[in-house]
Amino acid sequence: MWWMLLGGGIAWFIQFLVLYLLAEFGGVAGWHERLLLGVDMVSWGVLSITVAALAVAGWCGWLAKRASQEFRELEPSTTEATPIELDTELPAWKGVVDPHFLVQSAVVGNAIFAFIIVAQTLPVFFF
Amino acid sequence: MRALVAREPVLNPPNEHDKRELSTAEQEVDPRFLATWEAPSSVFGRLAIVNNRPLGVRFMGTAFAFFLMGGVMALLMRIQLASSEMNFLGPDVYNQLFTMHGSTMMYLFSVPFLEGLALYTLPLMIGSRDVAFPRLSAFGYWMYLFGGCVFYLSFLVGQVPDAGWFAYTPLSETRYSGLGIDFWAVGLGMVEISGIAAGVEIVVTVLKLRAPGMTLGRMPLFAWAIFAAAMMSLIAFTTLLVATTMLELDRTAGFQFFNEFRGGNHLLWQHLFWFFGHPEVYIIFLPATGIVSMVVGTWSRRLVGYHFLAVAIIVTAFVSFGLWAHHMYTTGLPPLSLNFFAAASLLIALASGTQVFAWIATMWGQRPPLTPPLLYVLGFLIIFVMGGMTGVMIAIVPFDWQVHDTYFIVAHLHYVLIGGAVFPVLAGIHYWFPKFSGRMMHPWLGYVSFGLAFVGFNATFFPMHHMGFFGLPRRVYTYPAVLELDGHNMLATVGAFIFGAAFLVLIADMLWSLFAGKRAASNPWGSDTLEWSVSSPPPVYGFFEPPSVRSRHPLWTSSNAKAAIATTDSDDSLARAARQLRGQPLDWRATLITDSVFGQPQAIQSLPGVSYSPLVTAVGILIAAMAILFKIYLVAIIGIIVFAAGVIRWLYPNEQRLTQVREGEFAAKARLPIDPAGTQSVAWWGMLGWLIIQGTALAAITYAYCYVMLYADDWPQFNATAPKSLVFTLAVALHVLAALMMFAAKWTFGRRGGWLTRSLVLISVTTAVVALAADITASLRYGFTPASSAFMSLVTLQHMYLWLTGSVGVLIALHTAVQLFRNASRWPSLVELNLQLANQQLLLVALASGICFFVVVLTT
Repeated sequence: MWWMLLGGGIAWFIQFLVLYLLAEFGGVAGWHERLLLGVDMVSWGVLSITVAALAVAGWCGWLAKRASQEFRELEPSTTEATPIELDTELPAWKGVVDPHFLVQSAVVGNAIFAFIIVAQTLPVFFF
Repeated sequence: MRALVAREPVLNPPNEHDKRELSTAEQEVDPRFLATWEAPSSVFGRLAIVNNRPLGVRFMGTAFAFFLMGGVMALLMRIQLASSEMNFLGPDVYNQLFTMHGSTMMYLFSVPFLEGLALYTLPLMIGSRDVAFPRLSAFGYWMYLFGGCVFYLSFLVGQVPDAGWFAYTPLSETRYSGLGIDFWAVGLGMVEISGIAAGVEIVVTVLKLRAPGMTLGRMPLFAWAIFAAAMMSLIAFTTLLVATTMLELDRTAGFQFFNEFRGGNHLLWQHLFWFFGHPEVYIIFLPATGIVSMVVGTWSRRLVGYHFLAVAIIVTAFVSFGLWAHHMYTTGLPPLSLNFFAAASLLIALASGTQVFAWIATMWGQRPPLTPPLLYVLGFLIIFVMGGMTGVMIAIVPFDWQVHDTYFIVAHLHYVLIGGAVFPVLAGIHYWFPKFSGRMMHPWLGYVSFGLAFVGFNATFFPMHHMGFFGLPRRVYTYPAVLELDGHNMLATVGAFIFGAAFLVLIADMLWSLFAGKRAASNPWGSDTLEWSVSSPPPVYGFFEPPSVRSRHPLWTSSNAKAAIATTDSDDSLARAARQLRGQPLDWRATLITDSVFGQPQAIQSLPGVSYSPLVTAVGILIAAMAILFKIYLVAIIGIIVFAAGVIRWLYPNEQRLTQVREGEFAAKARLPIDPAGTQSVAWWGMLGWLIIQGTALAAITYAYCYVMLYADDWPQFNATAPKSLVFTLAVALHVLAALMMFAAKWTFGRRGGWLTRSLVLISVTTAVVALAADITASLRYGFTPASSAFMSLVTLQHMYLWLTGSVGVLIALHTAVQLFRNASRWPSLVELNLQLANQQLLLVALASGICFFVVVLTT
C-alpha cells in the first residue's frame, strides 16, 4: 500500500537526481558532445530515465486503480467493520476497513507525479 | 469588531463530547494509575520529565523566547536602516545581527516551535497517551536548549557569528571568520540532532500509535503535515549535520573540503547546505498548513478536498527536495541543470495552489465567524499567496539573475516564512491556548494583535519589493542617500515596530488569560479532533481509556456514521481493544500500538517513566562540544565519558521493570501482546528511521566525494595513494560476513535449535569486532593525512563514518548477544526484536563499507 501511495514520488525523486547528475557530471565529462542517432548522450540519458520513471509511476497508479476496483467489488461486505477476534491472528487488510482513501490518493498522487516527471523533462528539448 | 466578538459565543456550546468527557473526569481514577503518569514537581524531578505535554510546552516556550530575541535583533537592524548612511550599528555588528537573526528564526524558532506543538497536540490528536520514545523527546529538548545557548554564548565571549545564517564558504572559513562560526556550527549541530530526534519521534508516533480505527484516511491533516515534515527533517537535517561537521573539521582539524588551494570546492558547501535549506522552508511550512486546515475546518464545519490536501502534502514533501539549486542560479551551474531546477521550482506551486484552493473552497459559502485564529489564517492566505507569487517569479532564471541578493528576495522570503509559518503559528496559539491552559484568551485582544501584525508586517516588507527593484542589495549595513530609498526604509522601520507591538499585545493577552481568562470547556470551538475530547488542560495520562475512531471527524456526528467515536458502551472489536487499557496498567505507562496503515490494534507498548538519562547524555555532548570548541581536549574526554554513561544507563535493560511489564498482573490478563517484535514494534520503526539517517549521511558523503572529484584537476589529488589495500578489502568482506551471520541468526531463532542461533550470533559479533579492528588497523597503517588535500579529507571522512556506524553495530550486536544468552526462553519477543535491530544495523554497515570502498576503487 505504501508503495502504491509513494511510488510515483520516489520515481520522480530518482529521476530528478539522475537529471541533475546528467546535467552536472555529464556536462563536465563531455557527454553532450557525443551523438547517437543525432541526439547527444545527455539527452538520451534524460529521455531514458524519464521513460523509466514514468513507467514506475504508471505502474503504481495502475496498481492503485486495480485495487480501487477490487475494493469496490468488496463494498457490500465492508460497510460495517468486520469484527476482529483479539485472541486470533489479525485478519488481512482487505475487507477490514475502508481503504478508499489510500487507493484514491494513490491514483491522484501518481497521476500528478507522472505529470511532473514529463514536465521535468521539457527543458532538454530546448538545448 | 463588536459584531465579530458577539458571534464568538455561538461557537462555544456545551456538546455531547463535553458531557462525555465530564463523565470520564468524574469517574474514579486509581491513584496508582495517576501516580504512574504524573510528572515530578520538584526542581530536580522536573529535569527527569519525559511526558510529552510538559516537554511540548518547554519546546514552545523556549522557541518563543528565542523568537523574541530574534525579533529584537530585527528591530535594531531596522533602526540602522531607517535612513541612509546611519551609524547606529557599525558594519561588523550589523553582520553579526543579521547572522544571529536569521539563525535564530530558522533554527531556534520555526522548527522547534512546531516540534513542540506537535509533541503536545499530536498524541492527543491521534488518540495516544504519549509519543513513541518519550526519553528521545526529552533528549531532543535538552539538545535544543543547549544548542541555542551555545549560539548565544557567542555574545558573552564577544565572538558572534557573522557569516550569515547560511555560512557560505570561504567566508565562514578560518581565513575570514573567527570563533563565532565555531559557536554557530557547534550550536547548530546540537539543534540538528534535536531536530532529527524529533523527526524519528513524530514519524513513529504517527505510524504506530494512532487510535484504533484511525486509518491514514481518517488522520487529521495536521498529523499528515507534521508526519511529512518529520520525514523530510530526517533527510534534510542529516545532510546539514554532515555539512556542518565538514565545516567544523575544516576549521578545527585542518581538513580541506572547502579549501580551493588544497583541491576543495566552495560550491560543495552550497549544494549540501541548500539540500537542507530549501526543504527546511517546507519543513516549516507544511505543519503550518496543517494548523490552517484544522482552523479552517473547525470554523467552516467541514473540510473540502481532504484527499487533495493530503496528496498535496506528499507532493510538496517530495518536490521540495528538487529545488535546492534555485538558491544557486548565479553560481555558474550548467544551463541544463538550471532549467531542471527551474521546472521543479515552478511545479511545486501546483501543490501549494491546490491547498490554497481547498481552503478557500472549504470556507466558501460557510460564512465562518472571524475569530482571531481564523483571522490569522486569512492573513496567512493573503500574505502567503503574495509570497508564493514572487516565488514563482524568482523560479524563472533570468528574473532571478536580476533580483538576486536584493531586497526583493528579503521581501519574498519574509512573505513566505512569516506569512507561511508565523501567521499560522499565531492562529495555532489562539486555537489551542484553551487546551494548553484551560483558559480562554481575552475576547478582543486577539483582534488587536492580529490588526497590528497584519498592518505592521505589510508595512515592513511590501516596500522591500520596490527597494529590490531599485537595486538595493541585501546584507549591507547602510545605503547612499542618492538611491532615494529613505522613505521606503522609514516606512519599513515603522512597520517593524508596529509588527513588534503585535507580539507585546499577544504576550499581554496570554498572561492575562492565564490568570483571569474564562475557564475553557473541553471543546470550546466545537472542533472535530480527539484532543478536544479530553479536559482542558488534559489530564496527565491523556486518555483514561484510549478512544477508538469511526470517522475522519471523530467529534462531529454525521448522518451516515453510527458513532464517530466509539464509547465504552460500544462492543465492537476496536473499542474492546482500547478498553483493555481503561485506567490500566496501574504501575507502568502504556499505550496501544496499531497497524501503520489501517489503525488496527496490534499490541500494547510500554513507555518509560521519569529518567535522568536524556539530560546526562545531552550534558555529556555539551561538555565535549564546548571543550572541542575551546580546544581543551582533556575536558572533551570527560564529556564523552558522561555521554557514554548516559547512553549506557538509558539502554541498560532494567530487569525489574521488564518483569513488571511482561509478567505482572496486567500482562496476565492482557489480550494483546505486550512490547512485540518485528514491524509491530515501535523500536523496529525507530530503527528504520535511524537507518534512513545513516543512509542519508552516507549519500551526502559519497556525493561530496564525487562532486569534488568532478571539478578536481587530478584524482587522487597531489599524487596521493588511495586506501584500497588488501586489509581494507578484508574489512569490507568481514563486515558483509558479520551481517550475513546475524541475518542467519535471526532466521534460525525459534526455528532451529537455540545453540545454532547462539553460535551464529557469537560468530557475527566476533566478525563485526574483527572487521572494525581491521578497518582501524588498515587506516593507521595507511596514515590518513586529511590536511594534505580534499581527497584525503574525503576518504578520512568516509572511514570516520564507517568507524562510527561500525561501532554502533558492534554495540547493538553485543547487546543482542547478552539478551540472547540471558532471556531467549523467558522473553523471546525481546530477543527477536534485538536480533532484528542488530541485523538491520550490520546490514547497513556492510552496505556502507562496500559503497565507500568501491567508490574509491572505481575512481582511483
